[in-house]
Amino acid sequence: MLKLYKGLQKYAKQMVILIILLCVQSFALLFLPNLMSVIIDQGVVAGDINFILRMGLFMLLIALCGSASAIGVGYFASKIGVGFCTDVRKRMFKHVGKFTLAEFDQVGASSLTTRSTNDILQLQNFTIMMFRVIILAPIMCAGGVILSINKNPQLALVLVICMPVIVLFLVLILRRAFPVFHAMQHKLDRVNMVLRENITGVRVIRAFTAEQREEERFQEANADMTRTSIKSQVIISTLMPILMLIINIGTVIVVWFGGQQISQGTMYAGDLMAFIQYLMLIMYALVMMSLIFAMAPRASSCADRINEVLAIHPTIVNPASAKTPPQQTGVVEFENVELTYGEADIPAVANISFTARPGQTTAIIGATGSGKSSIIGLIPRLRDVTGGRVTVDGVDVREYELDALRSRIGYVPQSAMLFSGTIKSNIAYKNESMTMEQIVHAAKIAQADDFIMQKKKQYDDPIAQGGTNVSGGQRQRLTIARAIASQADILVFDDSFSALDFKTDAALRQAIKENAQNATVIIVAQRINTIMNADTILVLDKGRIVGEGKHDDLVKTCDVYAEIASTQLA
Amino acid sequence: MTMNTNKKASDAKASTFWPTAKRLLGYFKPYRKKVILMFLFAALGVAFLITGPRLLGHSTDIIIQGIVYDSAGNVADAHVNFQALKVNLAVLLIVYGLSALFTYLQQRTTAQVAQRTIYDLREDVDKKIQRLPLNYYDTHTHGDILSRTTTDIEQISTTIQQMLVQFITAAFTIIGIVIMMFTISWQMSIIALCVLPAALFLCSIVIRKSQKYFLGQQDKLGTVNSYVEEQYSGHTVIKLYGTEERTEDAFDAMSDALNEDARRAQFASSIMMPVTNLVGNIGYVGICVLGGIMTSNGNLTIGAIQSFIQYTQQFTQPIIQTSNILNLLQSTIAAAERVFDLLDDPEQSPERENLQVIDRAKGDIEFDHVRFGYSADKILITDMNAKIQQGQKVGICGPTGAGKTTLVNLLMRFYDISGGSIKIDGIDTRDMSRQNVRRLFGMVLQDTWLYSASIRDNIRYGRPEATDQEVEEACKMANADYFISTLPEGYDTPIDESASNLSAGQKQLLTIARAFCADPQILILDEATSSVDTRTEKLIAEAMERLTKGRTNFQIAHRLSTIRDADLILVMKDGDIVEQGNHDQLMERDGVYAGLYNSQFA
Repeated sequence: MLKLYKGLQKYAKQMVILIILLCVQSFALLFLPNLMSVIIDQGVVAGDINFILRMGLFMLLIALCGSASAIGVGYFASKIGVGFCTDVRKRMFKHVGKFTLAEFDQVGASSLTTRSTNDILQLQNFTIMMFRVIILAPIMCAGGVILSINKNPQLALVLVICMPVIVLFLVLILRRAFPVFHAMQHKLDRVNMVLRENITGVRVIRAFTAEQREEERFQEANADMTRTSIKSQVIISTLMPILMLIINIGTVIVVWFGGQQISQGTMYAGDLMAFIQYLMLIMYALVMMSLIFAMAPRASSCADRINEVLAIHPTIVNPASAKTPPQQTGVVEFENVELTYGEADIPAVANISFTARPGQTTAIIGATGSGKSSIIGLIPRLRDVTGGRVTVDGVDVREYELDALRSRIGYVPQSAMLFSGTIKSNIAYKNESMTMEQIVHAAKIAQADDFIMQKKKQYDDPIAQGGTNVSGGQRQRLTIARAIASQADILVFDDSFSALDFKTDAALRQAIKENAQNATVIIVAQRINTIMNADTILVLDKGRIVGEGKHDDLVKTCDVYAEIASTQLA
Repeated sequence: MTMNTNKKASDAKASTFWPTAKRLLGYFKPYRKKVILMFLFAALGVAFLITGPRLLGHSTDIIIQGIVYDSAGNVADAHVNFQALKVNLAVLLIVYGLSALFTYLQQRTTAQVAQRTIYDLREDVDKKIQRLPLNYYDTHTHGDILSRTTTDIEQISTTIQQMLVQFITAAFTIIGIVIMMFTISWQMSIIALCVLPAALFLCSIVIRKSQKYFLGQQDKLGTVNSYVEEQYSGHTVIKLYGTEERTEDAFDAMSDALNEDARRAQFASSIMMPVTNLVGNIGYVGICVLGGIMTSNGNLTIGAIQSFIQYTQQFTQPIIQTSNILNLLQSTIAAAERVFDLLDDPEQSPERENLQVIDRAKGDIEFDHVRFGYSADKILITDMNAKIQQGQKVGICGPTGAGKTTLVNLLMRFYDISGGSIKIDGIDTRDMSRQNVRRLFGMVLQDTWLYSASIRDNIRYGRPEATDQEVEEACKMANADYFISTLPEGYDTPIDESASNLSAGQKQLLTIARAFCADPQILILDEATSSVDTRTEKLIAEAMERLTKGRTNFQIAHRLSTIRDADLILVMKDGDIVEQGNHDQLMERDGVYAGLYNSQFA
């Protein structure tokens, strides 16, 4: 958590003001008993009612002053706390923005989302309370000690001794509590995970009549978490009574020795009363602090989770000095490319060499898991090769400025992902200022214009988050339109025709051919019809190229291909 | 209690506030004994707590009574009764100790009660999840269900304990202090009590004013969160189109807007404490002055003032706590309401009485004048009739969105039909339990749901008692054996939540293996072949051939080649069955099927 709080430096000025205000606030609080003792010792003993009233007025003024500072504290605490967390939120979003597939795999998209939203919120709430309440406690303690030394150095010793004892217990208890809280957080994650699985898998669970077993699985996770959570709460429950007890014992000692001093005439009764109230005010500050401290472990585990993300260094970044090819035609070449995932023993793909040329269609076909998507993901650097190299117009993709490289590639990923907005905003995603003609043109090529025109608001028809309000086939065509509208000279389709019927599929390929004559087209497909007419077909099996050529040749020379052809074209 | 299922308001409405609160309190019933203990401990803790100042005041009086001042205010004679003081202080120590002990016991008991209550609530929710009709899942987004079952419950869980502890203590403390005050001086008590309504009044103003900002904050937070979710899930697209900067700018703008409202909301709520404190301090000053005057007149001892002052200081604390709790209470009750909404949603229709049981089906299936619609006013299937013999292969096809999964929903009783009957071996499926019906089926669904456990456990999901050997056998049949053996831990490889360590095809193979392992008598293959490559598909087809021998099987197909040899093909369009027959009959008919077939193989 401390690591994150370094970001507070920006608010140094406000924090200084905040601390000054906190000092004023606590001084005002502590000064009231002081004035009360004056009333008792001078007003009451002498029976001077005027004096008592004058002092009362003065006390009101001080109280007002204290509350005004407290409001100021609230203002700055909110400003700093919320501002700081806004900074963290922005920083996190920006940082995650640099992540590519490898990093997303590492943490998981849903976990990243929780960390960027809920965790930051928790941190914010804690930070504000920290400034308002937790910092107040030591200031109150210090103020109390100073005022009491001023009044009676000997009795002040009691306060001075109380402080380290309190700190000791605080440390002891929190030290026990933190690990338990962390464990609880993990167990809570598990409970939520099982619940999530129960919801997303409801059909399967019922199909297998596993309701009972799922209930038991949940019960187990739930019971485990409840146990840990009770344990953590019980530990925290000791904090407040112990703090109160220490202060109260301090009070008793003060009264005992104070009584002796009073009887010796070295102290006034009012002073003793002031002392007792100092202790009480300090106690309340500490109790409030301990209540907030109960929030600390949770906030700290949130901070850890945030830090974990911030500590991940994205692997795919801009090169130190970027190159640009002398000529931009769109030749994509794979030279003995190898890709190994994480710590796997065997590379997912190896020995991949081929060239995709402008004006031609290069197709990749092969079994699921044979590495088709892995290969094409290397072109826009969604991942980096672990051996060999991929070049575009003769320059290694790792030597390009990322934006320069990616803006040349129109890539349609396998999962048809749309953003909330309108059909128009999704097609014109790359460049918001795209003209309507360009948008319609792209939609026509993608065979999307027909169904768009049937929508109520046509191109302005809304798209819900994730594109859930259009069918799978429509979603796929919109993502294709988006890629075409980006006017890239390299078009890559990752199994992007799967949800289309054969007629649409054929029409779409024809339209692309007519409209993007000079583009380099790379198509990954499962259906042989989609790629039959490609200029070059690469046949992939278990991460290796086992055939390369045209349909008619491959049918004869490549067993794997012939087999696919025979099942699909029978 | 009537609950509005579609209600999405972020705050509890007044009309439902109390019923919801009452219902939430109902969760404490099983822990009646603990709750009583909790109150008892709280009462004792508070009793000892508020005895403290009185005894302390008494100590001061003992000291002062022993001192005689001369006219100049100096000590003239001192014979403090230290023996009495010692006894008094010893009693005080015991009182403080007991107060600490009972406070601890109260908090501990509350923690136990609160956490167990939340445990029960979570259990109820999970049980409900298993009992809601599938219609619920088809009409609600996962996000909505998830936020009710996770975020809302967490919200209740974090606040309920705090509320219990503070509320009970605050209530007892206020009552106790008022009593103690009146035993000291009714005049001063009245001053102190004026503080209470004033403080509550000011708090309610602050709460009301800040409500606007809180709603604003909630609203902007929702925007930011859903933006994050969307952009993270579309991160590849952002990268491919180089729109990072635009996305960031948009996010920054949203964050800044949130920052404004959040700051205002937090500030507004932070005003409460100083305001209450101020009112409390005004009371304090009043008491000092009045007490000073009364003591001067000899109507009050100094120790009594001291006690009284301590009581006033203790008084503001519970008031602040109460106002904080009121704030929390609103959002907690709103969260509880959303959870209860879910718990109150109608469950699956109850089973009939005198259920019949089929242990192993032969596999004869009959659709007899089946009528069905997802809602009563929109009937999709008007009158479907079909007889399927044991061991036959039934193909289901039609254009996308034709409602092919509807048939599966009906066969497995995910939905109940509105008219007619579906019979297995001559028995109406509604005369069997849902579980019985489903146990007869094996199914490979479109979405390959796997759960976080080992591959082995996932495969034996439909039949937990399957041996390791049977699991491996099933995998061999599904051709999943090869890739599993290449995984680092083989069959014991854990699958993480999103199964991101497996490819789509591999997941599909596992779900096929899972169906093999369950060894059912009727099979449903829900477009199983769409994401498995054609080579594997061929191998599966062979294995399937073996497995489906003597077993009735339904195949939902997009590619017609997979069902060409089916004994019966059901052609669906717009939710209804428009044609049925075998391939040759349908081709001859030259209708929808023939059209589809020709477009695929043109």
